[in-house]
Amino acid sequence: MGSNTAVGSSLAVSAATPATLDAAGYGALTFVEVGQVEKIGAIGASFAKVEFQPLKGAKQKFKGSADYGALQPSYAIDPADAGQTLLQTSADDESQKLYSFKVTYQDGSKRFFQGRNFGAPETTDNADSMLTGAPTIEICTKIVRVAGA
Amino acid sequence: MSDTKTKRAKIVRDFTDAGTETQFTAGATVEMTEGAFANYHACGLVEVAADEPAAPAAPAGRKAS
Repeated sequence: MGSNTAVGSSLAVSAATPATLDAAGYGALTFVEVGQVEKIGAIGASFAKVEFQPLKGAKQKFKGSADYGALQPSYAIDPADAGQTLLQTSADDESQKLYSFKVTYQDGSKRFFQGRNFGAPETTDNADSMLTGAPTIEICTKIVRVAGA
Repeated sequence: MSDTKTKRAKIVRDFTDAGTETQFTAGATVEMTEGAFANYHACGLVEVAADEPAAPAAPAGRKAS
């Protein structure tokens, strides 16, 4: 069975950008894993729907422009964690700089992409909860999929 | 990681790398890959160690005749 649970998955970030937007390019980068991650969120492009209703016949539907989506992970805040610190730096960065990201699944398969972090708000909930951070990483490049070994 | 060049870094504040489970202590000077240095330096966790040799000067460009 090829299905996996999410356990063991990880999120990593790099301040560098790859020379080429492929597995080799991303594979040459050094990433810092983000610690205390609770969930990583959804990854994947979606396309705008373009519709046309002719006077005769059924509604026609076309794929419009692509949106590579946004990653919305959450983690228990640890100020001593290097990955979280770099993620916060990317959120505070007021330039248009792209950061590189790597998601690794339990089976070793990877997803690489570049994105901009549009903010990492901190949440203080009830007494029996952790302080959490929840960045919104808008994905700006095609997602490169690498199968697990 | 394909990054093999190393760099000496001075640790600015205590931090931990969750991926390698390495703990770094403020004030220490350690050898690390240039890729790791670039990431830590980008978020202010490390700085170039005082004993790190200066990068060689770039070769002079050819003058246009």
